[in-house]
Amino acid sequence: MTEYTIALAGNPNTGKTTIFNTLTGSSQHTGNWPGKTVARKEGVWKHGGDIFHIVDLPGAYSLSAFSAEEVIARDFIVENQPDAVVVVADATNLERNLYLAIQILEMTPHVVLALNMMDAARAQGLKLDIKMLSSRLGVDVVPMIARVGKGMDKLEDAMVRTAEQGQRDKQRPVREIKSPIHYSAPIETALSRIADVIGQHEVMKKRYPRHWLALKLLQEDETCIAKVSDMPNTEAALTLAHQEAARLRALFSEDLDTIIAEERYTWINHLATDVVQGRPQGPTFSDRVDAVVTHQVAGLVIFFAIMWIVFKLSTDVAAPLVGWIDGFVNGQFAHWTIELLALVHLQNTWFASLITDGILAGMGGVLVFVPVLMFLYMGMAIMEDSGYMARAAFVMDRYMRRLGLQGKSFVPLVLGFGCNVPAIYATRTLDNPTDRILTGLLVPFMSCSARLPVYILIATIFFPAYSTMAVLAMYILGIIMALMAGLLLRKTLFKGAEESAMLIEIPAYHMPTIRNVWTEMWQRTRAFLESAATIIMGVSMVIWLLMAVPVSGNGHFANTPVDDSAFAHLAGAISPAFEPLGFGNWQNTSALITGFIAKEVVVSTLAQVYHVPQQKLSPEEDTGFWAQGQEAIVDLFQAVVDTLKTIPGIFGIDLFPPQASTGQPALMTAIRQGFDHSSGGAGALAALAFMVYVLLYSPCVATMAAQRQELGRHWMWVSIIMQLSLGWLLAFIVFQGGKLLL
Amino acid sequence: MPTSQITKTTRKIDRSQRTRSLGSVRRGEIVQLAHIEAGRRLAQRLAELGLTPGVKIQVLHVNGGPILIGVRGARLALGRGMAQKIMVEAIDQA
Repeated sequence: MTEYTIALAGNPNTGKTTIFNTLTGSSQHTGNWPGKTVARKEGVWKHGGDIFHIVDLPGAYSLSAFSAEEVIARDFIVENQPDAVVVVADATNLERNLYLAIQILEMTPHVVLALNMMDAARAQGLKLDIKMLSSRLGVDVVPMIARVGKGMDKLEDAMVRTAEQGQRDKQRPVREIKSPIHYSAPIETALSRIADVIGQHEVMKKRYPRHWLALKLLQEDETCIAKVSDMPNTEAALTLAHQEAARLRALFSEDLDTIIAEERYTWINHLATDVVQGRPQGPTFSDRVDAVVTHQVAGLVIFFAIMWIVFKLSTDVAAPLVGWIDGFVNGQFAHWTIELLALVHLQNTWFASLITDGILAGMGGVLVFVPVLMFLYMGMAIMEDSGYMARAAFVMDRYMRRLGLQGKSFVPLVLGFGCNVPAIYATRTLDNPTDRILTGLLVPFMSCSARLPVYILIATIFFPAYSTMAVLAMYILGIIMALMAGLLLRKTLFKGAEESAMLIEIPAYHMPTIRNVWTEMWQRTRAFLESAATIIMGVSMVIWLLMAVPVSGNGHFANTPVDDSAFAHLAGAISPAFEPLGFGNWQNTSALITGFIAKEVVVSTLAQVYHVPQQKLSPEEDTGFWAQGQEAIVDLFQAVVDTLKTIPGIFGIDLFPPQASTGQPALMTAIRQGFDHSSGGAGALAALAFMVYVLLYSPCVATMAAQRQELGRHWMWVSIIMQLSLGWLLAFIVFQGGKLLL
Repeated sequence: MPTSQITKTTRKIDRSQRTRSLGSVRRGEIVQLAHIEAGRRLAQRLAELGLTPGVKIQVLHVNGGPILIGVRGARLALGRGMAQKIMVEAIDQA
């Protein structure tokens, strides 16, 4: 048994992921590249008793090290020396794809070119001479249709062959590479002079392919110069490279980088002209579709229709499943846990309370996100895999420019209406760091689905006649605040930051594959569970502890009325901060504290602290383990049916009108009295201020965790402080301003 | 054809006078790249995506600012700021 490492490289949208998924199946694991926010995907492919570690390099158009993705891909090939590199290329777009391929061929000869999307090339009337391409590049070329698995077996053979050769060649003392491409005479002369000096240096010649290094030093590549400078006795090579670069600059009128890119493209163009027969006749299928999809008016309508569907999927369609998870974790599962605890005589102890009120409650808080996220990620994966995402960015670009953002930023912001957490993760698709941070800071202004129940409850109590309008007003206020905050941030923290201009490739449309969509959806959901779970659980346990500790009254640990708990006293201590806003009593404050963790729990906390008993499970329901198990399954089935029933609703067809929801009159009265009291009679104004505050203050711990992961600790704090102060300010204006007017 | 005559007469004039930005090119027109007015990083980025001097560019769609172009068989979406940095000229008849 031998172990090999194979890297997968390629432009974005070439089907690289499809090949990766087919090879590695469920053995994949995702992480981040060390010190980077770029996802690292790795998997194992077993073949003929040997183990092949497949590393999916980030998609890139070149390896000039101008972006984090390019640095990662380049360093991995040069430093880690995989036994083989598979370059996945789009056959319909050979020139641009070969640009990356020849850069890799300058680094390693152990390359397999997977020429994907042969069906699309044929449909365009292109004929490719595979043999000629293979002999001119000096590597195996495998024609493929990866989407349907065609050509996989040939690719596997070529991979094995190349990796074996690659491992044998590692025994050689010097890394010598014969690149197929030749530059113009002045450049080649400079390269061979520098390469000669590198060849005399013991460390450099072993660590790097010398012609490649010569080229990088000639181009004055910062990363490479830094690495070479760290080695002893490299001054000669560096000085020579510097001199040669100066000599060439004087010779050419253009920038040296541009000349090299131009010469590569010229070489590729000659090759492509020989290899490809037939030119695409007229506009392609994608071009014809794009005439509508990227149209100024029609494109906008299509974009909003698609966003509406994704939004509905993650809210209405996911809702029954969310309800089921919530019911299951806090119902049947809680029962089983209590019964298990009873078996070991731990019922009604502090430990049982910790398990059920702390850990289980926290777990429920995490798990209810899962259906929402899965539907959102499914929508996103389909949009990405089909190629629509790039069009959406194109259509929205002119509007986002007003905010100093670019088209690509719009997608995360829209996703924020469903759930802020995946929206923050979606900022990853932005390649400019300023865009990423600014977008990540604006996402919390998008009113997520968890804030909705709070609006509904408060609006029903205080503005029964105008409840829909009050709720809608919150969404609109969120958007206005995002616009204002965006402009403000551009003028302050991001003053002078480079305004990004959109530059994206528009791939041809493809039918998304179920496998890719599923893998993407599951990987991202799992990443959320792993990162958010710990934080949410931790915070819910702290809250539990605070609620368990009696500060006043006669209660004892884990058995104390809420009013006497440390939590109530803490909330009481904070509540004066909310007095100018009209809702400064300890009950409202504690709902806001738990809402800081997750907006889902605001309503239940209100019910808890206003002393309204929540629905207890009736004795009839308190049946045995199996009956409850059956019940859970029946409920799940019902939830799935309910989910399916909501689907026509996306398209505005309401086949299944919802039953009138039964209100909780006792709770409503208690809340009304609470607000009336805390605001000195202006309960409705205070309630409106409360809604505004719920809209604007930090959405939840999971969002903060996502911000920390994607934007860094510093920007997470900026976001928290911004949300808390803006929320307070706006609520203050609403309450005090309202009092002045009325 | 009058257009080709214009090309011939303007050829004698200084090169920079008959270049214009890609942002001003109308939908459906095919032009060739003259040079890029941007910093080293961006210029190289664009060159690597195939936007090198002399390459033919077709403007496929215009969306009130951003444009969609075809270059070397690929489709690229450029924001307005980006398109304004790319200077193009009429295609050489040679």
